[in-house]
Amino acid sequence: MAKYIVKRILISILVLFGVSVILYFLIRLMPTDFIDNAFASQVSQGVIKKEDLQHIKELYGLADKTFLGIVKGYFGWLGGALKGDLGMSFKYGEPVAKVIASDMWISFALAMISFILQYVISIPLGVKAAVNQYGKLDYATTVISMLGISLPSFFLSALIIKLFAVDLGWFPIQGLSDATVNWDGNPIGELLDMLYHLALPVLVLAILSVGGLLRYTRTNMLEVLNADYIRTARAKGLPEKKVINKHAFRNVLIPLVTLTASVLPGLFGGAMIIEEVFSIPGIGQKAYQALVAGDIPFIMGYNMFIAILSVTGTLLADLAYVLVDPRVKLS
Amino acid sequence: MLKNVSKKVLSLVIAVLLVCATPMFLAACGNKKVDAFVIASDVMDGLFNPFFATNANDSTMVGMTQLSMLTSDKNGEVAYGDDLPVVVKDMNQCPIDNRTDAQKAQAARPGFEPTAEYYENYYTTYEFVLKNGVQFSDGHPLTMEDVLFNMYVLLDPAYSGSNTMYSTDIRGMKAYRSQNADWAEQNAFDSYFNNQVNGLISQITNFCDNYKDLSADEDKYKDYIKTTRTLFKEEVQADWNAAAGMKNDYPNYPELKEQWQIFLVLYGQITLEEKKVSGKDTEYNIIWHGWDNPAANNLGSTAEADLIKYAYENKVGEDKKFYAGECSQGEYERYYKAIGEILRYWATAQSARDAFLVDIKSAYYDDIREENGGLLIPNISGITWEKDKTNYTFAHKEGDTPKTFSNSEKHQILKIVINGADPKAIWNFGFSVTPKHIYSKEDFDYDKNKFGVVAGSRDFMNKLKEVTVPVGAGAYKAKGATTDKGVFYNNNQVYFERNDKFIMGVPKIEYITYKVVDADRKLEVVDKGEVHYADPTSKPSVTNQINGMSHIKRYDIANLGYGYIGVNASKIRDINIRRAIMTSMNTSLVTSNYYADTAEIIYYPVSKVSWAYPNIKDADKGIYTSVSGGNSTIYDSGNHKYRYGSKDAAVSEITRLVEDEAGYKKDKDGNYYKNVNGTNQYLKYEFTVPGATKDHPAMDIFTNAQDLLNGMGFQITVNTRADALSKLTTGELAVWAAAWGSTIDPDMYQVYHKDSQATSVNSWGYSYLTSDDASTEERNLLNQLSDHIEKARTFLEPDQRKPYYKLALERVLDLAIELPLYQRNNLIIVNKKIIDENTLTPQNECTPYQDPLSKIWLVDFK
Repeated sequence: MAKYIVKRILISILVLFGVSVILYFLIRLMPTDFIDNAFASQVSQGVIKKEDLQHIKELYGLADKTFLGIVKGYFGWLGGALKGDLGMSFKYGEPVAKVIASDMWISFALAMISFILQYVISIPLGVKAAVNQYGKLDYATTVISMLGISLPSFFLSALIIKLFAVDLGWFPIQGLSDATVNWDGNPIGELLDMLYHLALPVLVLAILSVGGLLRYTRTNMLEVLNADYIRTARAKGLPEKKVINKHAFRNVLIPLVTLTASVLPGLFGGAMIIEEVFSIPGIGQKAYQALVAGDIPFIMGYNMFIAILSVTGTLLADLAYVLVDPRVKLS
Repeated sequence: MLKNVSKKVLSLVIAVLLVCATPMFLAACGNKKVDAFVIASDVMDGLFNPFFATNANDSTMVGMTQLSMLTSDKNGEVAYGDDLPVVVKDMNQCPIDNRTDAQKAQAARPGFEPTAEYYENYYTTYEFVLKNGVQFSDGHPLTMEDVLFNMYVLLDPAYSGSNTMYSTDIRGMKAYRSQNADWAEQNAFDSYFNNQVNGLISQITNFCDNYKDLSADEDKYKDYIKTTRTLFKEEVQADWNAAAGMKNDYPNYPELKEQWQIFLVLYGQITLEEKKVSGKDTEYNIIWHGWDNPAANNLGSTAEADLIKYAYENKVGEDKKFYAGECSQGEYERYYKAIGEILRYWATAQSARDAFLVDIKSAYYDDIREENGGLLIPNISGITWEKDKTNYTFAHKEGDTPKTFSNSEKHQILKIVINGADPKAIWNFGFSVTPKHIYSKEDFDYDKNKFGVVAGSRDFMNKLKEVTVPVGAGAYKAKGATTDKGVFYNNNQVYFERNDKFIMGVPKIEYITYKVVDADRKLEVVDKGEVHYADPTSKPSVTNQINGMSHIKRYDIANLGYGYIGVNASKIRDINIRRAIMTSMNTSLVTSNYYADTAEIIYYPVSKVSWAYPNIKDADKGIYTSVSGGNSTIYDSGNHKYRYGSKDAAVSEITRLVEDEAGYKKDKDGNYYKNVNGTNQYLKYEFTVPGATKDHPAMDIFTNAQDLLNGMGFQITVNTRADALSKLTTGELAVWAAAWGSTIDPDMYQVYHKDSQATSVNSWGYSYLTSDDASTEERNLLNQLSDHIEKARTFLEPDQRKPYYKLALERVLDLAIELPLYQRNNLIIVNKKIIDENTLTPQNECTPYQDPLSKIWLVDFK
């Protein structure tokens, strides 16, 4: 087992190295860079001369666009990254690691709450739908989950805002806290206010993600229910509840566990569009804007963060497999 | 059990909903107390450093905490004084132009490189009297120390932020930034070092010549002698190499054929004799000194290495023996004499001199570094501090009555001298003054050239960035005077608290919070009271809604800038085709389909806010006809340069331009073509709308033109491009729509002059217009345009500049590179149930240069 983990970690390092090379080259090969974007209007109006722009690019290490220059830039980045220094974000003016560390928690809270909601709602419903295949509940959940899967997040967000915030006025339209109130000395009120602001985005995220997991649970449950050992259990004369909850559900858990571990990057990586629409200052919003601006250190740092989470997620999923399914042996 | 699970699930869901709902009902019930004035903002980067903020919204946040040197009044003119929130109490600018006519004529020639001497008679002095008693929000006084610190940061060679003070040619700035004294400084430094090195060489040669008497000084010159010997060895090698190419240089000595022979001639080992035999004939002899039989002489070789060693050692002795002191006294005397000779007459003299110069310079700079903390040129000569003045006479032209300043208190005066004259330079001196004691730990001592910066140091710049919460002398400060950015900028909100030390008095509202709001939701949040002040996009759908809301106050403020359609002359090289394309643009669609009453059509490519926009009032005054070529015709809706009119009218005009003027014909498919140098050229172009969506004021104009032109035989496609604006800078777009943000001064040099270095001229296709490929008409138009711009620059008074700008704008239209589209307004909305609208700057005083919050310290709740 230990040997397997070590081997997997070593392979992961190779994978991450490959990912970083591809990422860095892709970013550097983009037709514009951060300095071009940031100074475009000043350059076009002649406030900054091209020599000055070139000078600034040199200060940022972006001047050399030849293959060798990019290779040099990559190893510069890699050298820093190996020492734990992801560099200064061009756009946010702070160390990349600091920006990620400070902004991922809001995204995490948002994702975690909706993640719990998603599991709590979709697994029992999925199981129930499978047990009552082609029943009323089954059709109802299918329709609802298909709706959730197919609605684009920005559209659903807009609908929800219009209904619950603008027309009914039950919830705030935007943001994470009520700016008109001074929360000094009232941390509980502030926390409640934040939860209140998170209600709509959580709702949207949950609606969007419940469908997928629900369908997944249902399909797996159906498959398990057709298995031989279920027929055996029933033939033994076990009560139906026991057959489903003990024999069938435990086997459905196996693919669900795998799915759960792979959720890891989603938990920390942020929900770009929903964060943007609700003006939630999470890592997703930051990453999107950094990408548009060509902020190389941030894009590299963020994507490597996601890559590490993905690799870890897959490893955890494989390990979890062993835990929940004794038939699987790692070697 | 499943039932139990479902029940648990249900109760959990209800619990979560309840948690969420409780504050909702709390909020819904009862009147909520408003503690803070909430202002909407677009997304920020969170880089709130006064030196490095680039995002406009970040800059607004920084601006809340900062006090600037200068401000602008509602007309966009420089403003300062005790009644305004600025650092400058009084100021004066004085251009001096004592250039001779010859110098002026010289300056007008292309490729003119100004010198320091040229600028000695041609410069502008700016003098700023600082207010006394200004305090930063932490109570620390704002002094000249802070002002100079800011300037030295902004002018530092390692500075990479968006402030462009360095684009102003401050005297001595280039030398300071390059740490390489150019111009006058360079010459002064050079002659200083020349004297130094000449003195050193004469000392060395004197020592060499008189080695016998001065041998005690040997140690003093050891290094220089060593350098000379090394360089001499290189010279011998170089001579050997050169000898190979000199085989034909001795036609009268046919025996001299080999490289080694010529090398030995150069080194006097073989001598040549020229002797007049009779009146006419000359006899040429080679005296071989034994080298006619090299094997027989003591060297026994003609190999390169052997000969070089021989020549070198014969002259200055063997290195090993020489340095070890193993030569005889006589040998040393001879060798040193040779070195003296080498230092005077041989090629080594020059290379040794250069080497000594570097030695002297680095020794000199090391001394300076030790004394002044690491600088070769320790300050910017054009920036000086006039200390403790109660009476002061400002710089003035000879004969003029000088402006003076007098006050019972001592005041500090900042004096800046720039080379030449630059009407826009003053705006670069309006920077905000940040506190040195917060941003830098370096020492300040004006007399010792310490300005609180480490020049040219990236580490220092990174240290500056570590201050992530802005501090200054502005009306507001970070709430709780926090230095933690996580507290200052939290939940997409930025928290401010009033600055009790503010020079204009304590601001009325205690807390102000900026909240990031999605652009499309700005009206809704102000309507609901989540935000009290916002700037939604000025579109009919928004303004119609606002008009129905009695609790919202609306401000319409002209935007400093205008929208246009550009046509790249290097992509569409025929001026008549460009004119045809412009005629196909129905500009009225911009107001009828997009902006409605929130924008108006313009007919000249300049913002209507600018005084340079030609108008009837000035025409009636006769301003435009006061110059040669000037005319009183004003383009307007009835007299548009490229009038679309109706579809039929447009079609007939385009047909005329394309078929009659440009000479295009239709092929069998009905497409226009023209045979140019054997290939058929078709009218196939892309119209580009910047951005990712089709939501753009020019979109309908483009699609309408596309339908019209394609129906006639053009092949037009209309595309949106997210990277359009960066493509513009390289001139890759043929036809595009965009908007200019104007500057306060309407000077057009950078945008339209043929010699401009700005990237805007790439988008117009100046590479073609200035080339020989351009038609005579195009070149004439461009020359006239450039002349008008130059002429306008020679005046300071708007009324004198106006007629030339009108002519220039007409030439831009004639060239058919830019079609003016619209002047739009910006919209600002305020929730007047919460904010007292009478405390805001009234609508009639709101201009692009001041908004309703321009006196934010007076704004109050209702």
